[in-house]
Amino acid sequence: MEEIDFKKRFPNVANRVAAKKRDVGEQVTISSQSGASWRVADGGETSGRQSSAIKQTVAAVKEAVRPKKEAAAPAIVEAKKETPVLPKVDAKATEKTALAPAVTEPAVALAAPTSPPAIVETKTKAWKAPEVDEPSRYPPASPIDPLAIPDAAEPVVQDLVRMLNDIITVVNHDGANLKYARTIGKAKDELSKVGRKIKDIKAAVEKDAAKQVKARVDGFDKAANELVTRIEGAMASQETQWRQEFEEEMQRVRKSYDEKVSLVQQRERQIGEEKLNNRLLEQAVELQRRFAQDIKKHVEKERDGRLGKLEYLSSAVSELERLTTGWNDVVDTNLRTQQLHVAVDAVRASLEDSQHPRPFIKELVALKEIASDDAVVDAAIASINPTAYQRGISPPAELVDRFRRVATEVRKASLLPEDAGVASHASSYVLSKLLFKKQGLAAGDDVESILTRTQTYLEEGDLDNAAREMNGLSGWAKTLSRDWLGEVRKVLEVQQALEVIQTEARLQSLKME
Amino acid sequence: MAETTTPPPTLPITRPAARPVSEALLNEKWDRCLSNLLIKSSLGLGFGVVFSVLLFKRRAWPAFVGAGFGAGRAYEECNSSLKQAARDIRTQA
Repeated sequence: MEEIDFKKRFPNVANRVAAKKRDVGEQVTISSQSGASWRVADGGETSGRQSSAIKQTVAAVKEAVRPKKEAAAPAIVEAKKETPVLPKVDAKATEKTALAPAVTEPAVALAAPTSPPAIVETKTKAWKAPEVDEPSRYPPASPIDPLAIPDAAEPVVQDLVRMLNDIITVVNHDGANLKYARTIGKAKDELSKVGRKIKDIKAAVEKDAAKQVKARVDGFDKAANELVTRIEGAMASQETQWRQEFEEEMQRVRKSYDEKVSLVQQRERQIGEEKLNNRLLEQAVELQRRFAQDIKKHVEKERDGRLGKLEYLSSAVSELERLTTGWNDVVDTNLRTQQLHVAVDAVRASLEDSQHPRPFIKELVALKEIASDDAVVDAAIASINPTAYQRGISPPAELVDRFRRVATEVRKASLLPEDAGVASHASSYVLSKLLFKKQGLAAGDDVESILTRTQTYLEEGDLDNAAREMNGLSGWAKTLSRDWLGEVRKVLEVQQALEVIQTEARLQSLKME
Repeated sequence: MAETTTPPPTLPITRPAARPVSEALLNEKWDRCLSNLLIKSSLGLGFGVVFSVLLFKRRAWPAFVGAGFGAGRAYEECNSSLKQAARDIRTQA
């Protein structure tokens, strides 16, 4: 923590320290930077730093001290140059003392006394270089030379020299040079003596300190070397250990990889075998299927041969069945036509048999039932006037009888004019009795000849022509003959319908054959 | 069916009553005219007789005149009916 703090506070120094450390040995720095093992690096770092710091201080001191001995001015300049470095190193050293006081205290003790005077001296000298130095070296006044001491580095000496110089200047000013020359010379000698003494003491002390520092530095170097060697050993051992571990790991990995490869190979082989097996199975299945198909084909062919015969037989049988059903149909239709014939005959008989008009609805219903769904028969029956089969139709004999009555009446009205009144009716009635009777198919459009023709047709049994003749009448004659004509028409309709039905029945029977 | 079974015996009897057959149309008109003539002429005769007794001191001619009136009226009616019938026939034809 404190290291970090210090580093934060003085990054330059830390860098420099690192640089200095690099000079000592690269491996140490590598170890400290890599941080492979915390403890070792920590110990090395602290020791290295401490050693280096001391070294630096010692070197600085040496450098500061040596030139002072040899020459004052260059030493001062050097000291001046060194000043920015020294205090900092000192500060660091003082700080370090708290951590490891036992090791660093002597060095500090050495450095502390040496540095402050240096600073002061340099300062004063820099300050008063033109004022103090020059007049001191080159005596301004002839009577008494101002003091010039080569060993003016010490502050005390300096103060004294300055004081003495002041006195000298005062004396010079006063002009009492001769008076005080001897005392001042004595003082000068004393002062120079004191300065020399101080210098001697200082030199002795410095020598001692240098010695001590050197011893310390040697110790620290040794310790550092030891540490370095130890760290190197540790690192080597660690490296070997790591290599061993790495190799072990490699072996393990290789083994596992080999296992995997072998497993994969085994799997592939298995898969291949299974594929082969599958293909074999497929082939077997295919063969079986083909075989089954062949067998099925053969069986089918054989079966088709027999089945074809059977089918032919069954078709023949079905044809026969169709034939028989057809014959059944023929028989049925024959029967039906026969029944139709019978029914028609029944109707006809019922018509001809009776003396009086009689309803023949029963016979007609039977006929319709027999000729079921026969359009022709249905149409024929529909053409008959409903009153005909509900009340019956008059037989020919009755028709003839009735015609006779109608004819007499018509004859009475045969001579009527267009718009006849009572007189014309009476005259017609009277005069009609006087008319001659005609015979046979009389020619002419008059009422008498028409009536004669009708009568002739009726006697021949030709109802159709009779009706036609009667239809040619007009006026009162037609009105009088209307009912008879209706009767005849009904009879004719029935006859026609019956004829149609009979023809149809005949046609049916013909169709069957 | 029930209807059809019963008619045969009743037909000849019911037919003239229901509607005159066509050949009897003229005869019927004549019958009506004659009866009408008889009634009207006799009515006229009766009126004439009464008048002759009451007013004309039993003279013969009022009775004849009355009978003549009646006969004339009957004749006119008959004539008109016949003409009407003839007109109907013509429109029918």
